[in-house]
Order: sequence, then C-alpha cells, then structure tokens
Amino acid sequence: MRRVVVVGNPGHKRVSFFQQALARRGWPPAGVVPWLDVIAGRDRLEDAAAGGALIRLDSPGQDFEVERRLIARGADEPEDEDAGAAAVPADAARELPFEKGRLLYPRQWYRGFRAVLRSMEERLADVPGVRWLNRPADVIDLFDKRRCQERLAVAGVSIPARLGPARCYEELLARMREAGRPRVFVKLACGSSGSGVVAFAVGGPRVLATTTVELVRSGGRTRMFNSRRLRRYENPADVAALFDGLCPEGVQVEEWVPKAGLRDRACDLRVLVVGGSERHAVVRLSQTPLTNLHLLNDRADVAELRAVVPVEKWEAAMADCRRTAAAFPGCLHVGVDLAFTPGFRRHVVFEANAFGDLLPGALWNGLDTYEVELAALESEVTSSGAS
Amino acid sequence: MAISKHADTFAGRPVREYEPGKPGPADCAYRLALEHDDGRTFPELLDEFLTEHGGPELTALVVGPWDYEDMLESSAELVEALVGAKDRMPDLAALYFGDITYDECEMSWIQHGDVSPLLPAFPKLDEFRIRGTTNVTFGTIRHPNLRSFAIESGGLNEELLPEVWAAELPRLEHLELWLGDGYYGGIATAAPLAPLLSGNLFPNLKYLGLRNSRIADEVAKAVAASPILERLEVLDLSLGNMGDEGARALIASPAVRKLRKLDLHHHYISDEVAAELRALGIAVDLNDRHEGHGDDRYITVSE
Repeated sequence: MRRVVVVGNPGHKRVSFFQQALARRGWPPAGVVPWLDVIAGRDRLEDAAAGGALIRLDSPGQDFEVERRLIARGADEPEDEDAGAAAVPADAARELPFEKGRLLYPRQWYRGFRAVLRSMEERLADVPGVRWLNRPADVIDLFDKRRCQERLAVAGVSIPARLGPARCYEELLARMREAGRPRVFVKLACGSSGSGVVAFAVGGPRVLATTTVELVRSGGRTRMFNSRRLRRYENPADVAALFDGLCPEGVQVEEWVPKAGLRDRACDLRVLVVGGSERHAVVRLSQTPLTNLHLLNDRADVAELRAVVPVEKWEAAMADCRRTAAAFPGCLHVGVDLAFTPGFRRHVVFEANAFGDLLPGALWNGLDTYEVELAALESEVTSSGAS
Repeated sequence: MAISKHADTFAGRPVREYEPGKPGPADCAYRLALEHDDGRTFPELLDEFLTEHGGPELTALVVGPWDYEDMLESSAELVEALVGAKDRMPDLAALYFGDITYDECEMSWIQHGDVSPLLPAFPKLDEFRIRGTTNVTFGTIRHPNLRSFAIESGGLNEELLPEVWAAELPRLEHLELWLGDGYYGGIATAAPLAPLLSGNLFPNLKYLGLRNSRIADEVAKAVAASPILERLEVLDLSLGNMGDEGARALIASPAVRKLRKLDLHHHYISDEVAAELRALGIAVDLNDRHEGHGDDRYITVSE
C-alpha cells in the first residue's frame, strides 16, 4: 500500500473526509502538508515524499490566512495576461483585514497560487516514486477558466461560444455587439466556481446583470463581495461599476446557453470523472440562471434526470465528460460542470474543476468520491503487478 | 424569481418538442422552439413542422423561443408566419404563444408587438395563452369560441387592461391575468381591476386568476368584496405575495365559501390564518409557503 500525502488546509472537511475514506479502505492515514507551510517554504515536502508517495492536492480555499499569503506571494510574480488587475504589495497583502465574502485581488491570488504550484512541481521533479494525483501544471490551467476552456475547445468538447477578452465594461459591450449576442455569462477567470459570475443581458437601452456579486460603495471606492443572495443590477451605472471592477481581473465571456428544466427549475450537473470514467453525478436545481451556487440551490437525484434525457444525449454528454477529463491527463479526477439545453437537445460543458470531488452524500456503487479515487488507484497497482 | 421550465402539459395534453421525423404521441401538443444559435428561422421551422404535422389533425401548438435577438425586439415575424399558415392548421384549438424560460429571455424583456391578427386567424381557438406583455397590443379582441384566455406577465401594464375589459368573448370561462410587479410596469393598486370585478363582463366566467401579484393582499381584498365572486367556481390568486391581510379578507367573504377551489399557492400566510382557510370547507391550495416581510416578499415572476 502506498503512502498518500495531502496538501490541504488541516482541519478542513475536505481533508478529514479523505482521511476517513483512507481508513475505510484500509490505507494508512495520509501525511498532511498545510498550504500555509508550502507558501512559507517550510513544508518539508521532499521529506514527506521521500521514498515515493502519492501526492493529493486539495483546495487552499476557505482559509483567510492562506488567501492572504497567496495574494502576497503573487505580488512580485510577473503578470502576462491581466495587466490591469488590482495589485497590492506583499507586506500589505499579509495584513489585509478579514471582510466576509470580499473579493480580494483574484488575479494576484491566482498568480501566487500558480507560483506555489510551479515551485512544488519543480522541487519534487527529481524525487523518485512521486506521483501527483492531480498534477500542478493541470491544476494551474484548471484554475483559469480561459485556459481551461481553451483546452476543452482543442479537445473538441462542446462548450459555450467564447467572445474573447474584455478589460472593461465598454469593451464587453463591444464584444457582445460584434458577436451579435445580447445575452452572455461573464465569469471571473480565476475565481472559484460560483464566485464572480454574472449573467448579463442587454436589450435596447436596458441592461440586466444577475449575480451574487454585491457592490458596496463607500468613501469613493467600490468593493465587491460574494453575497449569499442573488442580486439584480438594472441601473446602467451599477452595471458599469460591476464590470469595470470585474473585467480588469480577467474574465471569461461566453454565450448564455439556456438550460433544460427539471421540476420547475433550471438544472445542471456536476460529474466527477475518475481515472477516465464518469462516476458520481449530482444534479443541481435552480430558479436562477446561476445553477452552480451551492448555497442557493437544491439537488435532485441523477436518476430523475436520466429518466427524461434521451439515452443517446446522455451518452454524448458523458463522452464529453470523459473528453474533458482527458484534456487534463495529469489528473486522476476532474469535476465537470455541464448542462443540457431545453428539450435535452444537446449539452454544453461550462467548467472543469481540479478540486471538484467534494460531493458529500454522493455515492457511486456505494462508494463516496474519495473511496472511488482510492479504488481506482488500487486497481492500477493490481493491474500493473506492483506491490 | 422566475419561470425556469417549459410547460409539460398544455390544453390537457403532454407537450413534446418538435423534432423533424420524430413524431410524438398522438395526443401531444408540439412545441416549436428555435435552438439557441439555430440555423433556421421561425418561418422555416413552422413550414417544416406543418409539412409533417399540419392539417385538421393539428389542434394544439406551443410556440417557444424564436430568434434570440428577435425576442428582444418583436414577435411580428411569428405572428405573420402563424397567420400566413392558418389554412394549414384550420382546426387549431389551443395556442400557447411564448413558452419561454427566464434563461431564454426574461419575461418582461420578451418584446411582442401587435398580436391582434392571431385570434381572428384561428376561429376554432378555445384556449389562448401568451407570455410577456412588453409592447403588446391585442387591439380589438373578438372571438366567438374562445373559452380560456391567459396573459402571463412580470408587470401587466395598466394600459393593456381596457383592451381586455372590452373583449368580446361570449364563451369565456377562464380568464387569467398575471399582474406582476409595479417596478416592471404592473399596477400599483387594485383600482384598475374595478371594471372586471364589477361582474358585468364575461357572463360565463367560472375561473378567475389574478396571479403573480405584488399587491396580492390588496387584490384579495378587492375581489373578496366584489360581485364577480358570486359567479366563480375557482378563484386563483396564486404565485403572488399574499399574506394574512388578504387571506383574512377572503375568509370574511361569504362568497368565497361557495367556491369550488381557492388557489393561493406561493404565499406568505401564517400557519394560524392558513388553518382558518383550510376550515372554510372548500379546496384551498396553500402549497409553497414563503417567509418574508414587506419588500422581501417576492412574487414568482418579477423580471
């Protein structure tokens, strides 16, 4: 039995769920390397990996100290794409006050995360027997929606049409006019799945932005927060402020593809692909265009959806889930978000997630997501004759 | 919030998406919808559909989204196409004009235009339902056979109401108006409903729906005190923001007790008052209860 090292935030449920799965399958407990230590360069990762180990990266999210340190780490990283993104010097970043839900320097955060991932991969390149369950290079691309969608486009996956970069509100409007698309989704390229997402429609003089981003104006500055409540901005000045805040951070602009309904709601689907095969699937129902918000939405059983989707359409969607995962060959698991269009005529893949396996309660053949990942590793070992 | 799902049934039939060469069950109503980024135009889709399913057999039709940019401008091309093809569906009895979800186009953004040629083109029409009222004109409404007329709106404009009150619909039994939110053009008080509530219009009316109202309490009070109630079998005040005030007015009205059904689903009524409603001795739909006060009381469609 090989050893697993988890890089994560100790105490987070992601880490404890994974440890529980190890125990249930008779694996030794994983060594946990905190993100905070990795960022600070005091992680002893080489020691943990010495002699060969499986290294599992998990989300650095939901820990404000980690967030500050990643932003600080990103301060002196070169910016190649989003030169207009807000910047904060490293020492100031380390002192940022906690404000619940505040969207803080998402692009600079990404630069920091990317730098940490790159250096980890370099440092362990020469340690024999190290195996990344999800390779840092793939995680880097999965965390930028533009890079992720580019890989999916190359792989021939059905994705929403992309409108190209928009660095400000005016450029966004121009892109929409050029493309002849009055309805789009604008997503922070480097946000977590539900963060900084806006459904935006233009109709003549009217504009409507539906989003969980809350604009707070005080003292002549505008701050943005991720809110639990969906907000609708119809005042052009608010809409302009919203996009002038989001766009410089780098956004993915794509067509607004209508989603098929189930039980009087719009629905989408998270499919976890493990070792090349689709496994767990969770159906999310929403009364809003933002179906991937966990807080606001209900779940439905996948059997209920399958009962109404024609078999060949379901199979086509699952084939695209596998293709999506295959576009990230260094990943044992990829969480794919997709939806069917009304009438279940076709599907589109919206996103792929490097840490998309936190699906509590979802089972496949009686196993949770982590157990299925371990089972996939066990069968690799068995079939290769090792151990 | 909003409508997120297409109709499963219409005019008592299951709805099936029209797909060329793939007929649905014999009793189904087909839904004609252009796909997002569809290569076809609506007239082309209609022609293809009628070549396959047109004729006297065709009695019900659901029209879904048309061209995505045109939905923001006008439904004129659809009206023209449907009216132009009237001889290919001479027995059309049920038409749903605009089965469109929020995701496809917000209800108040669906720009219709002049839909007055539709009703006269289909003399056998029994049921007509339209979603979206922005820029709609019905003109002079006159139809010998129409029994069911429904207007779904996120904000039903006061200026449209006189067209409805003046309608000559001698067989009308079911009238459904989604009143919506004042912010999106809906009425701010129940006063504009007075001509309807007087009871002098639509002598055969059995079902009255004043749904999706942001002023549901006020509407309930106005209806509770109105002569029209005596003639109704079903009063439908669902999908709105009704609270105890409106519910109490209904409880106090003797005519409410003679209804066959009172539909209040999607509401903000307290358990105590809900219990009194259940004790009325008639069927009362109190599903979908929400919590909220004042401006936090959402209606089903305000957009």
